Amino acid sequence: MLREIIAVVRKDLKQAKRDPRFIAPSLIVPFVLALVYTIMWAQVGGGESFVCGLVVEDQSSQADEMADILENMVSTTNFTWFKMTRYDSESASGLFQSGDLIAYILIPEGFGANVTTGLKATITIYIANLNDDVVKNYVHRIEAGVLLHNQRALYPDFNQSDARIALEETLNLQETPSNVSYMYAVGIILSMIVCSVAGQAMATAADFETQAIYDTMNSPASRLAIVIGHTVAAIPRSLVILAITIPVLLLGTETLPAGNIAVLGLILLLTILALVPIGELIGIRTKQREQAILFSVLFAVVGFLAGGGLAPIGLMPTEMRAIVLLLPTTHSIAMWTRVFFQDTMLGLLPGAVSLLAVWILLSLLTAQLLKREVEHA
Amino acid sequence: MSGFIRVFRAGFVKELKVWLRNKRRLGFIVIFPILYYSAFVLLMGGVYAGPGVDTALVIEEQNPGVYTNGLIQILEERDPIPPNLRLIEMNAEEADNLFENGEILIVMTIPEGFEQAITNNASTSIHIRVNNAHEDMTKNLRMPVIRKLDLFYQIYLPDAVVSDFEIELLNDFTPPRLAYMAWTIIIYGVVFGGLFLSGSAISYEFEQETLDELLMSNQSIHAIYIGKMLSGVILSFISVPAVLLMGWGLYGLWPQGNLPVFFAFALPLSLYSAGLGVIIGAITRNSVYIVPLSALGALFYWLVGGGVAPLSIVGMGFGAFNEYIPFSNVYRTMIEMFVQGTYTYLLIDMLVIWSFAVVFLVISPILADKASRVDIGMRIDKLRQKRGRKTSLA
Repeated sequence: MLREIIAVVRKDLKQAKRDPRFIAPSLIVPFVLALVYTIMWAQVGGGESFVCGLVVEDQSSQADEMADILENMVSTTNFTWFKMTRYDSESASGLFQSGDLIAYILIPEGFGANVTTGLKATITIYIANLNDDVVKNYVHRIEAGVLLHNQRALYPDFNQSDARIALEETLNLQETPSNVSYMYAVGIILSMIVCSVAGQAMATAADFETQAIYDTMNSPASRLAIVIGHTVAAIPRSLVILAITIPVLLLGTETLPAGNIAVLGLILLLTILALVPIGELIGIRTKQREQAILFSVLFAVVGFLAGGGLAPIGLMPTEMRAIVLLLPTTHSIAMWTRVFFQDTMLGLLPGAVSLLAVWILLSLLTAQLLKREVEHA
Repeated sequence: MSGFIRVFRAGFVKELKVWLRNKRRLGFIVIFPILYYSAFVLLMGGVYAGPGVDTALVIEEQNPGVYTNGLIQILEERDPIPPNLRLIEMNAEEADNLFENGEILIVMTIPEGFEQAITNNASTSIHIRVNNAHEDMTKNLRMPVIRKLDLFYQIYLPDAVVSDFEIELLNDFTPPRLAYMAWTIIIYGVVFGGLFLSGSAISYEFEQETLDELLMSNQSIHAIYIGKMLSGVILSFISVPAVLLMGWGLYGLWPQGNLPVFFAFALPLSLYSAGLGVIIGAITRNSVYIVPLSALGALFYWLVGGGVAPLSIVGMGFGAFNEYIPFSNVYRTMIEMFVQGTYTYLLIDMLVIWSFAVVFLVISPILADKASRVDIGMRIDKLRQKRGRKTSLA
């Protein structure tokens, strides 16, 4: 059996060397996504900083206090919450109406007088409500500014010690990973996802195109040996992509893992194991290399997006999370980001068990399907 | 001229027939934007429409009164500004375990003495512990708590409140983000379709080794390539109704605006994409490369064009960028039309995209023809062989 496995491994690796086209999407997909993200967030100056105009019509010290809070609020990630630009009332209104300014805040005449006389002083935020996410982000920010003002937590210290109710916060990590760092980190697992699925899908489809699959399946080699051989061959074939993605995405951007390298390696291995049978299924169904790669990229991109590739799935309600947890990519990304940014082993077991279960179940399924395909042919 | 039309027509009809014969590949044009949209619905849908983010609430206050209960009530209340918090009351130890295992991302604690401090006009605090694994997620976990605390101030501590704010919205109606994304994904689908279909048509000719025959038939290269481009343009629209229907099914909303304006933008956009696709197809000569390049090229412009969020949110810098990038240009007017039904930059944006479309209609066949004479893959192989020889000599 060992000899059979070695023969299948050799054959698959030779095939990968002969037709290494699966490497192209494995590089293009993560690099383009990383590039897009870098451009997007570099323009913003950080994930939490949104453009906003500020019009201060009142000359009082109270208005200045409020303006100072709005202009200098500091978030957990050291980027300002608003990227403020001051305008006069007419310019702000004109830019807002023409769509060149998405939002602006007006501190009206009489604001200070109202604060001094004990009346509630009101500021106004004008928002171009293009969608509810825009409204959410601006309302949250101004709400934070108003709360600080009411807590008398003023610029530059933002000291809440005199507040009736202070908000004490503890963050899990010393430093919050930026959206871009997160993207670079998951770029590695994304390249591995594409490489594992596309590599195996191409290999299986090539076997169908060349009819080699029928010789293999009709040979005395056991089906188990064939399946294990495919899986073993997929490991070096998929890992080869790291030779390019790690230097570019991690070393080049100085995004270094905080967690244990061996554990990260183990997560990559589990990812390959769980995804190789999926590649095999795609290859069996498509039977053509071109379509195999087409559907592999489709699976990888969708699995990556739904599995928390752009942002963690933590904000999803439990019911929806249960749906995306059916995807092996979700477990891979969750485990990878957890260990990448945090030196911990806690919470990894369910993900690891899920990936192993996917591997075993889908391997059995692909073995059956291969048999049926050959018998039907 | 009649020869031109005959060749163009033959190429156009042949490509349409090839695609219609290969339904699985054609289906990919529809499936890809749909699955892409579904992935975003899964990822973001819960934040806006679901029951809220699971939040561990630890109440250490032993004598909860009007203030403690009031704060809990405000935290629990559904908020029109998402995300909502789904409070799960538990003891500190359980909350700690769940947080450490990553099963819960935020723990809120109301401390002992909270009620008494507020009743006696003294200072107190609430505590939140946040899993800050990602900048954006951290923001979305913390901000609802900050908002609810401000609401508590406004309702229960009027004597401490010196300021408040009001909101003035530009439009009467605020579309949900995922309905907005469905509308922008139809533009993505058109760009992807244009790139993929025309790129694949050219690479397919290379793979079948039939392009040389076509080019040596002494027919106009423009007729040959434009026939392939236009078949791609027509078919690039097939995902539009599917994605629109999905968005409507989920949110009951159609985009505003009118069909002639949509086509006045989408047609040249698709034509321009098809022009790019033809060039890419001639360079790569392999449909394997066309898929990721088309999918991600379209994704790139979807993101930087404002597909996820309007560009104005990130500042005026993108405004200048917009004017000269045809994809972003189209996104700008289309988004304004879909959301508000208005057309501030209609003329300039239409002028830019039509200019690019016409220019690429003319230059794409020429560039693709030039690219088809150079086999980059073979050149790389030759370079490799040369290097190999040098190494062996050394």
